[in-house]
Amino acid sequence: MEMQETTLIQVTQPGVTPEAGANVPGSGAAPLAGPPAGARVVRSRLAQRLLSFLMVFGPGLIVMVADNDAGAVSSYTQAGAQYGMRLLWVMLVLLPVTYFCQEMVVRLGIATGRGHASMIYERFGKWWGRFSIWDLELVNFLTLVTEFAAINLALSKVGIPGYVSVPIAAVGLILMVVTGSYLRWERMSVALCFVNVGWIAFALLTHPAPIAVARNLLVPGLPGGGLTGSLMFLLIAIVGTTVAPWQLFFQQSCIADKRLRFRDLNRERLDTFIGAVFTIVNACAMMLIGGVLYTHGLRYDDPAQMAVVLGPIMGPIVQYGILLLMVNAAILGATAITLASAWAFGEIMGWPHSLQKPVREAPGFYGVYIGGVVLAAAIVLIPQAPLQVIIIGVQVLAGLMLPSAIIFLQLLLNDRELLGAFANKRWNNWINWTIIAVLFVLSAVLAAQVLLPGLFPG
Amino acid sequence: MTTLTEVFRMKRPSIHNPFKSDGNDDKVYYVVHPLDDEPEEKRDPSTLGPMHLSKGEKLSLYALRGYLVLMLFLAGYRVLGMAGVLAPHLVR
Repeated sequence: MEMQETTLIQVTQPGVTPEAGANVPGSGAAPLAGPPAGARVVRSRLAQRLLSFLMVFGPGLIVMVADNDAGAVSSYTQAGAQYGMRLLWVMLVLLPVTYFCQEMVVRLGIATGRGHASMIYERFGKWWGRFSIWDLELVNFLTLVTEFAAINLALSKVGIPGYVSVPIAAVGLILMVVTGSYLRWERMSVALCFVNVGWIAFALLTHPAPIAVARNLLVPGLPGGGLTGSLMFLLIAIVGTTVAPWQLFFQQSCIADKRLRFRDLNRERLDTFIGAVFTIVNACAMMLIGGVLYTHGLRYDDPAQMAVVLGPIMGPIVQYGILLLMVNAAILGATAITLASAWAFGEIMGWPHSLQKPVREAPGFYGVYIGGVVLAAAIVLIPQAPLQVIIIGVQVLAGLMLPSAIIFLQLLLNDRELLGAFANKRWNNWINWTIIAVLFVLSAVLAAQVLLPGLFPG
Repeated sequence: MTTLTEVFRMKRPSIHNPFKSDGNDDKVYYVVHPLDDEPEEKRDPSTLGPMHLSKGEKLSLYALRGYLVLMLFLAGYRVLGMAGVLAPHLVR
């Protein structure tokens, strides 16, 4: 947008109060010096509001859509393949849950300008700080391995072997962040987020009955057979993949790196809400796509094979499209998860940790990111690597970590000494403690199910 | 008596392009990207030390530690079972 040479009569900018009468002829007030450095000029209030929102837009969308990573694709498509549309209502229930959790992160990030890991360290002491960071690093690293495994799996179905696809993906992930510009990384990530519209397009190609979709979305119900052990497991996996611990750390650090201001709070809330809606709609789309196999009585072992099975039914465009969407989901998830780790580690260690800095100015931060990517890629390329154990490990550790991450978030948001007006209101606390209680029980059940499979029948 | 045409003319909203000037051509608005803006003074926890916790909050944290210890024990039990370290009758 070009700066226009114009005589200023009134300058309006949030946070800047022009001197009364400034630039008004005959007022006697000192003339305004000109536009602030880096400012863009618009000529209407609506354009100002829209541009202000677009400048803030990003962290909320990325954190939500990146959560629809390889593991999420697997969970949602499996839900559709096993139960058709019967679990769509779960996604509608999870929409406010995921929004409320991330909204608290938004407030905390904007109020303090710091990441979640450093907040836990400062306010709860070294034991909890170290536990949180090491748990996060371990879960995130194992999740990163599963992302590369998904890339390997998906691209092998189109004839690209793993020893080609995985290193290329690793290099791409590294190049995304080493530009020394937060905005460049954000724009690439937002573009990857919008690629996910493909899931919605493919879901529409399954011609779902609108009334059936609406009924299953709005009316909770259980599939025939009731609440079996496998259904419980899947429900918990869906909850755990939709409300993931790394999201709390990622969005707060992202907000801190982007230096969002107090006045950006409502815009970032809207960004987060848009992200939540988009990701839930995508999740429903994945369920509908998986539902095609339910309708035809077909089975599959993994989402990549699901795409191949769908090929004869829905055509090669859908088959290859789903495979590429899986790769997109894995890439987006990988960059977000690894950045969450790098930011958190940088905060705790006191290293420079910003995407705005070039590699030479933040070697520790970029070292954690690059090292994690390279190591995870290498593990996937090991023949006979125990990927199934890793996938189970991710589920267990996520189940362990989720309650503690959300409890700390809740306690931090009630820290009125620090946050003042940004602290939770009473209704926030009622909702959040309810969510925490339910997530606590579900996480414990998931962890127990995985660790002691014979505990639950069916 | 007001005719129908006059009523329609009175109630019809004026056509207005919201992206064009608000009517005062000399009025402009500035928008500054967060990364280009002056840093704000944020809430700083470093001067406060550890958080003051109520009895309920302390209890919840102790419960959390107990939950984590139990789950880590279960995880270790499962991993050892999967690795074949434990005797088969101890692992289902």
